Amino acid sequence: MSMKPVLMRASLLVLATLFSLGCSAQSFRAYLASYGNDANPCTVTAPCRLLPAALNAVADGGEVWMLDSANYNGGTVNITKSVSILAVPGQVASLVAFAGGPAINIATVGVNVALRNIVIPDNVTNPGTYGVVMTNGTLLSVEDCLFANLTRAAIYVHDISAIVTVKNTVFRHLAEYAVHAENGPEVTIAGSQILYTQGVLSAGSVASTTSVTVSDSTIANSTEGVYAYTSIAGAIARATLARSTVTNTAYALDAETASVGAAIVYAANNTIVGGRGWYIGPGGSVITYGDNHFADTSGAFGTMTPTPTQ
Amino acid sequence: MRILSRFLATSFVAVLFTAATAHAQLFRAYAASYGNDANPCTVVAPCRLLPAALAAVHDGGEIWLLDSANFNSGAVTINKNVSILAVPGQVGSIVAFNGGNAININPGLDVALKNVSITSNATSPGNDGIDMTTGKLSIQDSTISVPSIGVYVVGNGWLSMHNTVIRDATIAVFAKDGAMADVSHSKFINLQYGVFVQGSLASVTTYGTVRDCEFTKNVTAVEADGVTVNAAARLSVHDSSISGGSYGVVANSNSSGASSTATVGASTISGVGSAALTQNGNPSAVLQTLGNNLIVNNAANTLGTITPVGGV
Repeated sequence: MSMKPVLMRASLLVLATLFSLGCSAQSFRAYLASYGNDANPCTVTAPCRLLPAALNAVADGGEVWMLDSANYNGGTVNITKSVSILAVPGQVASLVAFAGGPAINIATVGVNVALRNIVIPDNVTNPGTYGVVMTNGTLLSVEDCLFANLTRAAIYVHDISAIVTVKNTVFRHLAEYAVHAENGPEVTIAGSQILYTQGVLSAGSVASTTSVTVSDSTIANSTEGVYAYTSIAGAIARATLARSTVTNTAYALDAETASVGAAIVYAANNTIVGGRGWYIGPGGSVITYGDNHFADTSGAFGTMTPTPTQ
Repeated sequence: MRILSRFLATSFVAVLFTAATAHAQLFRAYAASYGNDANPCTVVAPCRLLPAALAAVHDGGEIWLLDSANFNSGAVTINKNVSILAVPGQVGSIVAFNGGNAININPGLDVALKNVSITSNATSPGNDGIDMTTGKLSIQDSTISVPSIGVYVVGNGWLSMHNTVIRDATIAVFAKDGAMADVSHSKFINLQYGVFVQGSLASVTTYGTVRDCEFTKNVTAVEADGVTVNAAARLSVHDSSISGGSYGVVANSNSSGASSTATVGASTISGVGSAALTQNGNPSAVLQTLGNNLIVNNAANTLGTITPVGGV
């Protein structure tokens, strides 16, 4: 037996293996369904069952489509590549936080992640923590989602300069903040409902600038509206509230520091009903554009700084 | 070995029993038109009606209505913290009939409803849509049409309602005795009252906040109503549109010392048959305007004393 056929067979085997791996790992779009199976290739005709399998199958920068209404995780989902994850219109997908962990963890440098039409609740029979934890990455986009009944913050972004955008999303019945941003991220929340939570926190714990902007949204029955806070010299925490309604919230506009750093809240064209209205602690300032309406607020602390609109 | 076998067998049964008990307290229970209340309310074996799903779900859990159908056969009493939603593309119906309410919520609970339709049975009419006393209620993306009150929130009850339509009722949202109603991006059609905030408990303030809503052909779109001495009703209306009907925004006080304040800003009121802005009763009824409203083509734009206020 000559060596030539043996080498040829070996080469073919290697090529076949590479091709197989390449196809499996390089799907532009991976599919999930309640009737799927993780042994499937995650195609539309043979979908997988849980999100980790689809994340393994999809290419960096690709998409995961959830084809019908079901839950799609069995533990914390670690997202390590750029990906858009969505439930198709007419269905809704859930990713549950349970067993002491978050539903989603993003901790990979440079990834861009999008979530759309997804429900992220807590499993009350085996409670978890956060909805989404992001400690690294470049961009997180959350659209048309629902975060509910979590024992910690719905979205916790920290120690990075990531951009986070949230649109048309409901946060309700949370034990902590709807969004907790600290140490560098820039967060925008638009057209969203924040109900029965601790509100929205922009915090600086290192010498960087953290910004949160809430617009065209409702914050109701929560501890804070927008809250800017820092305890570190050189850190700046900013929070902006515009064209929004804050109802029955203890501190609608809250800015304070531990006497170091700066905490600034900007407020324009809001309706604020009940609660304290604003609270300006040491090192804090609330900038008003003169077009906010406060009704039945009492116990406001400190003096707001008026500034003209441009 | 025999003792060990018995021990293992007993343990096995205990584990099974525990598992069965846990199974009865699902994180998420499912109901569907093709379900059966004898089922365990799982996605592959859903229940048929809401009470069975409520019995199966854990306190703080969820109920998903998987397809379009009616999911009750009598007044539904919610006795635990729960989120109830029909999946997108479907709608879950809950009917009020035989003089009862569609949903009664026991005090002190956190309840959320999403994508449900609450109506009255025309052949055996019901009463209210949802009644709650204290607790935290969220309603999203729903429709409500009942003979009496759409959502009735009393005492230390907090209501957040968004993107919901209430029509053909006596009162769409009725908050009283210390309740807090926050309503946004919703529509109110053909009602006696759209949002009615009543101060009827002494030393207690009841609140209503309305933003980005449309009111069409209601006798009174929104009203702050003080009826008891030292009770207060506070109502804020912003970025909203009121058309047709008889009255737009009303601050009314029925007795001396019963306080009511209604504030309106950045809103449009047109085509109202009586008055767009009404201050009625003794001086403790106050109607405030932020001076940036468009109020045109009404029988009367103002009735009573209108108090201009500025922004801060």
